[in-house]
This record gives sequence, structure tokens and C-alpha cells, in this order.
Amino acid sequence: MTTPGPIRLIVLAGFAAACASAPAQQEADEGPVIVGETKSKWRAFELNRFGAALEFLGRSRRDSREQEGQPDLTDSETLMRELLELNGRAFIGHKNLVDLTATVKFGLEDRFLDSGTAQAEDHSSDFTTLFDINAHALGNSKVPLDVYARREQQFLERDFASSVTNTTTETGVMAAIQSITAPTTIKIFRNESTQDDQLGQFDFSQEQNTFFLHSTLNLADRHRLEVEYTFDDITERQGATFENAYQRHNLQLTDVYTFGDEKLSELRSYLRYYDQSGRFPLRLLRWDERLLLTHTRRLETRYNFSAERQTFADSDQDHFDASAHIKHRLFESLVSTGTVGTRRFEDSSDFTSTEWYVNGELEYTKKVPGGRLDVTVGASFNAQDNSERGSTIRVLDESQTFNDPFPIVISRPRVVPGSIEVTGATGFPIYQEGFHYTVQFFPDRVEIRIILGRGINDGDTLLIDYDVAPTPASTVDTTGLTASVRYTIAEGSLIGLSSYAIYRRQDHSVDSTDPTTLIFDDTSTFTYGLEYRRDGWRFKGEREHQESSFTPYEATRFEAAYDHQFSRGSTAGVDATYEMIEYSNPENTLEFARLSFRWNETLAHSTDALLRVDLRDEQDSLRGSSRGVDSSLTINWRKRQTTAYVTVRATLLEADTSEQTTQFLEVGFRREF
Amino acid sequence: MSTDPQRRTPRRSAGARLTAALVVVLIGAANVWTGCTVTKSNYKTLSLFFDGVPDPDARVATIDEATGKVVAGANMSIHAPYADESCSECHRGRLRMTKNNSGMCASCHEGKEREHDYMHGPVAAQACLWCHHPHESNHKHLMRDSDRAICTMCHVPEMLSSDRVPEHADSARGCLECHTGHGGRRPFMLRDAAPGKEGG
Repeated sequence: MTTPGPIRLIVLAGFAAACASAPAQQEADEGPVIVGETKSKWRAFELNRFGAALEFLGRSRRDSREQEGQPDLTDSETLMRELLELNGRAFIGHKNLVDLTATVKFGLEDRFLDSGTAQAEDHSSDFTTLFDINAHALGNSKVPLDVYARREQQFLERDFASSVTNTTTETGVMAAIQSITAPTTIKIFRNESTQDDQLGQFDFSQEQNTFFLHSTLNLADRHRLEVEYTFDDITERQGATFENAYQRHNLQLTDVYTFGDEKLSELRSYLRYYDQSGRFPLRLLRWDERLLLTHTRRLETRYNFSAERQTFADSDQDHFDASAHIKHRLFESLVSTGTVGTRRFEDSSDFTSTEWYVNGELEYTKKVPGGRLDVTVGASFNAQDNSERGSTIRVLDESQTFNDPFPIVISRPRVVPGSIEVTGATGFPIYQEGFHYTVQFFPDRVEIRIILGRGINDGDTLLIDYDVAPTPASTVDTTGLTASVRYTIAEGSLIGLSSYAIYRRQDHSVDSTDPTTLIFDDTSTFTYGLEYRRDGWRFKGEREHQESSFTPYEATRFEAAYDHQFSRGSTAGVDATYEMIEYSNPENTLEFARLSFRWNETLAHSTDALLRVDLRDEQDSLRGSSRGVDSSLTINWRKRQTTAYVTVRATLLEADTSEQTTQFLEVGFRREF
Repeated sequence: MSTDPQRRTPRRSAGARLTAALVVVLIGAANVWTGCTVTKSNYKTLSLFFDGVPDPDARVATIDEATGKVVAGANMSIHAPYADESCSECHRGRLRMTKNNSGMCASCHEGKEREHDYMHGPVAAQACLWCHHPHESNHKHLMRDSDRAICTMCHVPEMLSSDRVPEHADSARGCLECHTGHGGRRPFMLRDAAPGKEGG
């Protein structure tokens, strides 16, 4: 795998820039031309620094799974890579004329895979080239130019599957026009990204050619116009079955006018045009007006308006939104906010939805004897008037985050069973129901439960597509109330201790020709607890009681955390949480405990170590229990031009009917010359 | 609260009216205070309920008859040249400083812009008047406002990492409890006694 094209491009661009700047250099003999230098000799090419390095990387991973009623599975994967790196810095003409930096790595890579899951064995050898080359042409120009080419590689680990190699190659040119009245950045680049797994089951590639322009036109002291335009020509392929070639135009104009004393008030106007072709065509036109009036240093009001038209392949959608917002600060104690607004939605199937909303909140804080008192009170009201929707609509790329052990919730009724698709944050990979997750439908929502140890980890962002079935005409009123109070001790031996109570309530009122199809959850939640923060320690204990149409529960939570720096090279931290939730409909008790420990220690002048241990224990009286441990140790060593590291990681996840383990070893070595 | 959704009846009227009325009352009540003027008679009452009420009895800058110099009031800080009426030390000719360029300060406070390992941007750029008032102030060190009010002019709360540093979300905490204003020898301009990661 060699890519000489970008290197040639860099060299040619460098010489081109040098030639273009040559007349300017001739002037250098007569006076200061080159930025930062007044008198220096012109040189065609001078090597400023040159270095080399040898790198070795070895990775080995072994996964095994035992499950009742199924044969045991073992997957193992080994990667060995040896690289020679050459790096250097040179300049053409002068170090401030054309500055060249380059790092090129090339070598061999061997991969071995023995997959019980895929029932396949494979060995592959590849020639690897990685590089990062940059030419910065400055001269006495007001348009500094950067020409670059880079190729990077990352490994994405997946349980019970070969790791995915993510390779990105990008070549481009960037110019920054140094102008007081219209500073402008122009960038043109080509990006090729590929994700390969060893068996070719999840291969994905994307080729992208992009033109980008951003300019700020300073029309007057208080008035500027920003122009941003991007054109993309993209081809995406996944496996042998999916290909989508499309073009994107994205233009946004932003007009900003500031006024008033100290320029604290402003009017911002946005106009955006977006056009995408291909399999998922979309045209979007949006207009925004945002007015901020700073009446005094304590009182401000905001007024927003937006109108947007989205044109899909087979439908149009119009969105309108208008709102007014007020914020007032009384002395240092009371902040009052209020919002009133309306939204309207129309689509080409004659469906309309009109919404009015109003909300207000008071935040009060006051020093009181022995400490501080914080009180918050808020209320909201929302009235929605919907016409009948006669057709199914598709919701695309709803972003959700997996928060272990809780399910991902789609909080809307009428989701069509079988229509749900879950993917990673980039649309890849596509996860499979039954293997990666399970789906449970409720009258008011859908819960997606992630199956641990199948590739989706705590904190991962997922994109979810689903269909929503036709709905009858309806009016939905939603009222919300929140109130909270907290007292924090600021004096004496109990300094840092606070007690709090929070009340939240949300009610819906639905008027529909078929009320059984539109069901919302009415909830009332009361939380109270104690919290202690001092000198790196944090303790928290709280109790929560929720009344709900569908999911009433009682919860008890405890948290403890401590971070400490023993010395400059020695830190340790521990986090522990325990949560018990007792659901009453249906009756179920969920207990979840997690302990996380991190220790970073400088063992010697040239050696440091990082130890990490995570434990989790989940007891669910309906869905069973699971326990897991994930531990890793990394040791880094460096002496003069030699660095080495080793990482060892072991995981165990044990459930009622299954057990799976992972062992991972990575060794790296680098010697510079 | 009914647990059977089919048995629920529309309750648009009561809840809606209640909430709407409450919102109006809350916003109205809050903004009644907007017109509230602090007087000698209501100062103690307001101070009982609110922090930061300006004291109408606080001494403003006055002329000391004995020395003829300007003297700061009880809650004030005052710039020495202003107190000494040495206006010409700063105001030469038609000089008018701006918040972005207060390099004049360096003529006396020389080296402030580079005295620490980690410098605050406005200090390094000699934009002193972003945070300080050149004459007098109701806050210490000629600060224009409370430290949190000043810092959040640029460091808006939404930009601060409240997950890793929960103190950022606590509006009762002052920024200068943990950070220094000009700079320091620790990253993020943390005070020596403040918790935090070295090198982070």
C-alpha cells in the first residue's frame, strides 16, 4: 500500500510556492521582505533537521464465551507491526518562506485471526505506509498557504470479532487571507476513510472531496457579515451491497449587528441553504432572527424567530418558531427567567401541529446563618394542537447515549414494532436486535436494553431510526412544576455538608378521537438527600419516590468519590456508586453497584504506571443478574531516545447463564536515531 | 394520579390555568423588584432577603479636609493616582484608554503581563480594564463587579466543565476561591491550595 501521489503533490506545491515567492526574495536584497528576517540569503533547499526511528507494535487478544445450551466460543487475534520512521524539517528559500515538515513511516504488518464466532481462520500480511507531510508557504504574502498530506491508522476493538482498522488519508490545501476587512479561510481537500475488518464482514469506505470557504466581512465597527460555504462530493460504500454517491452544498450567512452601551445588545440574522443529493436527498432553507436587548446590566430580553423548510424525496416539512425570553438578576440573590413562545409544524400530507408554551423560573440564593440557602421554583405549560396524521413517518438518526445499566428510551407512543434500527455514532456498525440489544414496547414509550459484552459500551452514543404510526387528531396539554431547596453549611466542622430536596411534576391532558392511541406518562418525583464535599472527598446519599402512570418506583442511591495527589507523580482516585430501584408495576427490584479505581504512579525517573480496575454488579429480579470486572495495567518506560510500553488488560463478565472473558496484551517499542 | 390511561379524562382546564397563572405570578413577582430602589428605610429589609444590596449609607469617596486627598468609602477600593488627584499620570493630552488596550497601566505596574508561568489572557494582553475600574470600585482591588460576574462575561457557565469540577456549577462559589486572577504557577491558574491535576 503506497501512496506516492500526495508526496509528489507536496513537493510540487512546495516548489511552486517557492517559485511564486522568488520575485519577493529578490526584493529581500534591498530591504525587509520576509517576515521575521531582514537580511538573509536565498537558498533553494536546506535540510534543517533529520531523524529516524524504529517502531514495533505487538497486540494480542483472546475472547472466550460459555453459554448454557450452546457450544463454547473462543476468538483470538494477533497483530505484529514493524515500522521505520523518517522525519525531518527543511525549508525552501528561507525558513519563513516555505517551511517543510515531514514524517513518513513504512513497514510490515502481520495479522492472525482464529474466530470461533465466524468459524474462520485467516492470516494476512500487508505493507503499511503512514505519513504526515506539511508545507507552509509564508513569504511576504498576505495569503499564507498550507499544503498537506497525511495518512493515519487506528485500531477499533470489538468483542468477539476482529478489530477494525480505521485508515484515513487526506490531502489538501489551505489558505488564510490576512485581511482586516475580510479575513478569509479557503480549504480544499480530499479525504479517504476506510474501515476494514480482517474477514471483510464490516468493511466501510468513504471518499470525500471538499471545498470550504469562511469569510468575515467587517462592514462597520458594529456590523459584520460571516459567509460560510461547503461543497462536498461523497461516495460511501458498505460491504458489497450498499453504495451512496451524493453531493452536499451548505451555505450559511450570518449578519451580526451590535448596538447599545458597551455593545451589549445585538441582532443576529442567519440564512442557511443546504442541498444533498443521493439516496437520501434533502433540501433545507432556514431563516433565523435573534435579537438580544441588554436593558441594564441586570435585565435582558431575547426575541427569537425562525422559519425552516425541509424538502425530502417524497415530502415537505415546514417549521416555524417564535419566542420571547426575559432574564432579570436582582442584586446577587435572585435570578428570574421567563419564556413565552409558539411553534408550528406543517408537512405535505396536510398534517399540522401548533404549540404554545410558557415557562418561568426563579433561582434564589442567600447567605444565611451558618451557610447558604438555594431555592429554585419553576413552572411550565405547553398546549399542542395536532391534526390527524394519515401516514407513517420515519424518524432518522435520533441520538441517544447508553447509560449502563439503564435502557435507552424512545419517549413517544405509536412507534412501529420492527422498524427500529440501531447504529454506532457514525452510522456504523449496524447493531442486530437479539444479539446486541432487545426491544420492549410500552404504551407511552419503547425501551431498548443493551446486552453487555457485545460491542456496545457504557457511554457510547447510538443513532436510532424508527417509524411512527399514523395518529388521530388531538390536543395535548402538558404542565410541569419544579421546586428545589438546598442548604449548604459553610462554617464549622461540617463545612461542605448540604441537604436538599427536589420536587418535579409533569401532567398531560389528552383530548383525542381515539385516546387509546395517544398515551403519555404523568409523573411526580420527590427526591431528598445529603451531600458532602470537602478536600477531594464527595459523599452523597439520596432517596427518590416517583409516582407514575406506568413506571412508579422508589430509589435509593449512594455515591462516594475521592481523588488525591500524593506527590507530583502519584495520584489515585476511587468512585463508588450503589443504586437500588424498586419498581411496582410490574414488581421488580434492580440493584446496581459500581466501583472504579485508578492509580497513576511514577515508579522511577523514567518509568510510570497506570492501574485501573472497574467492578460492576447488577441484580435484577426480573432479568437476572450479572457481575463484571475490567482491569488494566500500563507501564511506560523512556530513556533517552528509547521508549517502550506494555499494557495488560483482563475482563470478566458473568451472568446467570453465561460467562465471557477477554485477555489483551499490547507491547510497543520505539527507538529514535 | 390514575394508573389506567384509558380512564383518564381531559384535564386541560384546571392544570393549564393553574400553571399559566403561576407562571405569570412568578415572572410578575420577580420583575416587580426591577423597579425596587434601595433607600435608607428599606435597606435592612432588602438585605434580610437578598445578598449584594448596595448600602445607601456606605461612604462614597470624600475629600479628607485635613490632607485634601480623596478617601475611599467603607466598601470601596480606590486607585492611588485618582486618590492623589494625580490625573496626569494617566491622562496625558487627549488620552482615552479602552478595555482592549490599557497598556498605560504597565507604565507603573510593569511586568504584570509576564510575571507568572501561566498567565491570564487579558493580563498578558494588558487589557486590564476588562476586569478593573481605573478610578474606584465597590469591590476589592478595583474590580468592576464580583469575581463570578466578571469571569462569566467571557467564561460563560455553559463552557465550564461542571462534570469534572462540580464547583463550576455552584453559583455561590467565587472563581477566585480556587483560581488566581492574573496567573500562577499551576495550570488553569489554580491556587496552590486548590484541588486539581498538575499538568492537566
